[in-house]
Amino acid sequence: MDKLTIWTFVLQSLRYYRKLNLSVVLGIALSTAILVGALVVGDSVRYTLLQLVQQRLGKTSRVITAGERLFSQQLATGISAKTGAKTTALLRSNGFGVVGGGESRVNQLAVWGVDSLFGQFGANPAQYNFQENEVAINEEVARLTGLKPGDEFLLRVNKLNTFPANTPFVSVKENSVAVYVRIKHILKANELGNFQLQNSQSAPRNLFGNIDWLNRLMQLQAKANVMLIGEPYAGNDLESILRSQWQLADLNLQIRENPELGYTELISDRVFVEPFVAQFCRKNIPGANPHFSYFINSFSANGRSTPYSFVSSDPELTGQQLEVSKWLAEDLQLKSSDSVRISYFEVGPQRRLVEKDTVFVVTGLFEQVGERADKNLMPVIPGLSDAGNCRDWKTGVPVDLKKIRPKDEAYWKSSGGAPKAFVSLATAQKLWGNRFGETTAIRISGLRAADLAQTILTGLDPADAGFQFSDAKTEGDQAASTGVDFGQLFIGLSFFVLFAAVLLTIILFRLFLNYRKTEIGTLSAMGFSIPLLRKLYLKEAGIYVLTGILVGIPLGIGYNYLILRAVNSIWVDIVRTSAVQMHLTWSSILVGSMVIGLVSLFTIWMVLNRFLKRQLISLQRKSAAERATTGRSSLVIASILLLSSLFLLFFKGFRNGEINPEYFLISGFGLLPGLIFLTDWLTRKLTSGKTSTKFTLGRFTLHRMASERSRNMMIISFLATGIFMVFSTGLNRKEVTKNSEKASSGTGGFNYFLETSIPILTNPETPNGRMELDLPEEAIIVPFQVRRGDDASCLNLNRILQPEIIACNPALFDRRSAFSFVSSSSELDPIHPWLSLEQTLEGGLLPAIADQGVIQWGMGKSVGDTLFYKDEEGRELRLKLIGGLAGSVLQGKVIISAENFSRAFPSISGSSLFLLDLPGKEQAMKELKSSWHAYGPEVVTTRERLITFYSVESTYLHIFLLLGAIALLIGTLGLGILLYRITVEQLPEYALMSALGFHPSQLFRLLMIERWYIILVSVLVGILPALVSSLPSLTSPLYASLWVWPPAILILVILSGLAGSFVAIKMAFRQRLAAALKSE
Amino acid sequence: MMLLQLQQITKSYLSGSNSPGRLILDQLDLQVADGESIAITGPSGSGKTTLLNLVGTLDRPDSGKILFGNSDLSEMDDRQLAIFRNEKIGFVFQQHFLLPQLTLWENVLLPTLAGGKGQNPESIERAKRLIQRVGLTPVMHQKPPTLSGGECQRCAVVRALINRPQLLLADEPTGALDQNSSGILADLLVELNKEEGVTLLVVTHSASVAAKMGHKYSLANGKLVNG
Repeated sequence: MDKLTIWTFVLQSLRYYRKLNLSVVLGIALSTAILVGALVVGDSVRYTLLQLVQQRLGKTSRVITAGERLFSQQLATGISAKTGAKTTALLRSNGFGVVGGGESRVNQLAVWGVDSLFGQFGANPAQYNFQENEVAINEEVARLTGLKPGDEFLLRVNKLNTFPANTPFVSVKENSVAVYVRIKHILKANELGNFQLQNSQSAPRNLFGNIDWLNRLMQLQAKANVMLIGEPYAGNDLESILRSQWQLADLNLQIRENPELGYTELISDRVFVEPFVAQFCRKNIPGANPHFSYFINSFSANGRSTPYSFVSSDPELTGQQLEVSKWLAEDLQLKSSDSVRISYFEVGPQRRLVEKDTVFVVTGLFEQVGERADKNLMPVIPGLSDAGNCRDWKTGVPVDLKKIRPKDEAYWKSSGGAPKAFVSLATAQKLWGNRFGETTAIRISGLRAADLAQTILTGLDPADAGFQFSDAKTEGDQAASTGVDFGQLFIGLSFFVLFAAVLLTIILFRLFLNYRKTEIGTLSAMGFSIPLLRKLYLKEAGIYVLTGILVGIPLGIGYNYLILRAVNSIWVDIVRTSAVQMHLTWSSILVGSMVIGLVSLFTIWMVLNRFLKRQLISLQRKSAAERATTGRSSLVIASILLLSSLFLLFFKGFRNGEINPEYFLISGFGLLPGLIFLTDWLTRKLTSGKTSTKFTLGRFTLHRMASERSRNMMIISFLATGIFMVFSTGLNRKEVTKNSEKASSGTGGFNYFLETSIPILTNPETPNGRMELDLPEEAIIVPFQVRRGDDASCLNLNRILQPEIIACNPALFDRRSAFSFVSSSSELDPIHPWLSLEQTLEGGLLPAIADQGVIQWGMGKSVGDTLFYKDEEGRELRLKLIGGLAGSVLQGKVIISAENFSRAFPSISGSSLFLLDLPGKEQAMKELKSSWHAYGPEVVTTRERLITFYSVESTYLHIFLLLGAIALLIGTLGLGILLYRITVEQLPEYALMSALGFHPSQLFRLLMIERWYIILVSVLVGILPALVSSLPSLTSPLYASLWVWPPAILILVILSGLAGSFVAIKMAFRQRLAAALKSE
Repeated sequence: MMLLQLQQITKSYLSGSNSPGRLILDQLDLQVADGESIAITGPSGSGKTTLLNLVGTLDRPDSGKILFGNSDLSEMDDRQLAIFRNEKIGFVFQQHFLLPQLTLWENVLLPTLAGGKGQNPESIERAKRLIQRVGLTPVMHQKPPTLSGGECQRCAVVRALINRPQLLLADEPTGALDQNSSGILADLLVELNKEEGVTLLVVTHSASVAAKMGHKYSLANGKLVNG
């Protein structure tokens, strides 16, 4: 004979109740599908981002950059020999293309000069052999321009130099070169077409050409600014390897020997010897003499003036002592002790020049012979030192050629730039020292050039020269894997669906228990204790849960597939790439399954516990009196909530003729419970009217509703709250462009955001600059210098640690109190917050401001935190976030002052980002774009830019609405099941009525009226406060399309609710009424 | 020897939202000797089932004491009461309440699971013997929905006896049966009372069933009276 065991019991029960169990299994399967699906979305996005890192870097392991510095291509060969890894040097510049004679333009092109070695970092090396004027573009550029292989277009490239374009006295008027190029092929992503060093999932706009051709185009010789070291190199000794391989040219240094005067001299291509080099020489080379020569505007004395000359330093002199050449003394009729006024330009940020003068006292005269006649004291200044006569000078400072006299011309011809006067080194450095340096030459007597070079090359630190070594692949992988967690995001967005699915499971399990309550009572009577009963039913439930999970996993994968389809198409705004691929990981499937398993078992345990206790209590019946309530408290609570909500709505929601969205939202939150309590009171009121002698069907229905009041109110509360939550959250959009004309808004009061492909060196803050740039008189412009970095805006899914730094003159924002701050540290001046950027904080920290969203979400930091960068000389640059802006057009960037920026990055020249307040708007902008065509301007209105940023949040809310609608549908399915249960419970009552002569159709109508009432009241109670909450969004012209959602979802809810009720009643009535009566 | 003593038992129920509780049992006393068979009759709503539920520890009195042997049931917690029901009490209801998913054999063995130990050879033998005794051997591997009401109710009696209870409580055990089956079941209960030595307390409307019991009480106005 077979023994009976707990498991036999469980298995027999499973088999017997399989149809009933199926619904519980489906509820769990649905929850599993949603959770696993959401987690797999997270995996898929993370995997895609990692794949994109692989695509954008190919087989690159390490990257060496040198900021704005150009080094020789040859350096890559030396490093390759030492590391044994494939190494290639690239020349990277910016540019733009003009297609079809101006029909279309493609701005912000990344122009890469590459050699054939670069191809070996990708899948198809043959693609990177280019002839003169031959280029390849990536698919993104092809998509934007429609260009095909064989097409030609005009390419304009930012011309790079070995010296910074902002270098004083250097003329860089033409900082771009244009050339017609022919497209050889279009590069795919796996062919390094999307090569970029920034951590971003968006495809860059890439153009590749031969590096030698690009060098020739820029009048450079074999220069590069990026070096790639290929896999599998993973060493950490690149810095020392580079040090062993670099040459003086890589540091833009030259050594000259003058055997006649007996010195060896170190000079720089950058006019000024960079401070780190000068400091090294002073410390490490005995007898190193720094020299500082400066181009001054004039000497004035005795009513005479000598224009444009060089002054050099003499370590023997002190203070304001001035030693003048006899030529100058004669010209100005000077004698010892005379005062001479020297006028000169002081170098400010960007190319800002301030003319200043200082008085010196003549302490000596010299003959221009020997050292005093050394033409090499004049630094090498392209356009000046190489000019044959003064009229050919091309200087970076304004020179009035009319002031140049024949005798000046004659001097230039005979003596060149030999200094006409000497001042003390300290005074020269104090007056004319600038961010580029305070030395123009370092002279050493008795040291051979080779020895000097050796000392410098072995002694200098590459980091000081701005060389940066990045473990690009690891950093990229890290940024990708710690970026926006779509798993969590979709769990959040699917919260209501999950909640509805769990609720459905609870309802179904409750129904399941209800079916078996007799069994439970019998077992209890047999002596099955509650723990034993719990164990028994939990074992059974465990099997449904497991089955539900197993069914849910493939459903989750399907759900994930649908989400990814949408993410790659209609929801592309949230990922900014259409390449998201499905990627399944066991860990997510396991975690999702386990969470659902535990949550399901826990909720089942709770339901079971509660049921078992109630079941036993029901056996014992109630013995305490239940307190009857009149509903007066419901009326009081409803009145308080409704009146206070309406007060907030009308007295605070509309302030000074403007809508205040926060109060609308709060009002909605008050109206919802208010209406629920009001419904409760009304239901009581309706059903407690005076007793009439007439008993109608209507009265009967009211009585029935009264008897079911608490259950009905529970359904109404649940459904209405669900509707309210879905709508009030999903429809609640920010009016991002509201008050966009105001300076305090996210636009800063500017109407255009303009980026140029080629930086503009002219300073638009000066009258001359404005004229040069054709800026209308009334236009307000804020130029920004840009230190390229990662975009930390919400458009980038990667976790960004070093966002792009931009710098401006804070006074320009202060003047108009631009933007609004939502968070601040103690360093931020509450009255003049922007001017706080000009201070230097304790410990050498530089103040910085960024969008609060970027600080919080993009970087995972908060105001008061410090960001770590390297400045141009490899020193640690610490930016302290002192303020967070409310959503602005500057999202994604960190803002510092131009002063601080120039000190940290002196070589970064010109501005490539502008905010413009341009009256006359469209026409004026059209004209401006035409004037600036050589810079490749890309213009968007600030409103558009804000809307683009907000499109991410807006898309999330759309997804939330859609998933919310699904949740409501699941909710109505649960409602259908609940109604079925209620109807089945009430069957004897209907059976009795049937026995009394009521036609089944009458009973059916009666029940449908009751269900109608529940559904319609739920919808009304939920939607009214939701509409109030969302009214500011719904009335905004920006979101006119939102009106589609409420009727669409409500119709769906009402129809599914009614259909659910219909089916529930039909199914319940299928059981014969007579049988029900009999059993009663 | 007294097996069961009810002392001054009071129990009331709610009748409406604002009405005071309705008194069902009022200071009720009952003494049941070991091996006795007792019938309790009374009109509907007189509290017969309530009385049975109190004795069967499915409900607790508002006041008064129930002593089973020397044990005071009111001092037991839920876990102890479950063990008590499993070991000392057998229930037969108006409906058989057999579990439809189990065979008759499995239904009979079900109470043995409550103790957590399952079946021992003795309980298997006892099940076989009792099933044979009530004439259900040919259908013992069938499930309840395929059997008659009488067969199911006999199976319910066997299930109630499987753990050798000292007290068998039967609540309208013949209420759902036809006259013939009703008579057979009543006889069976009386026979088993004698054969198994189990004390029998039957609540019934049926005068013929009541007549077969050793003692007969009538419940009226919350109190038991003889006859």
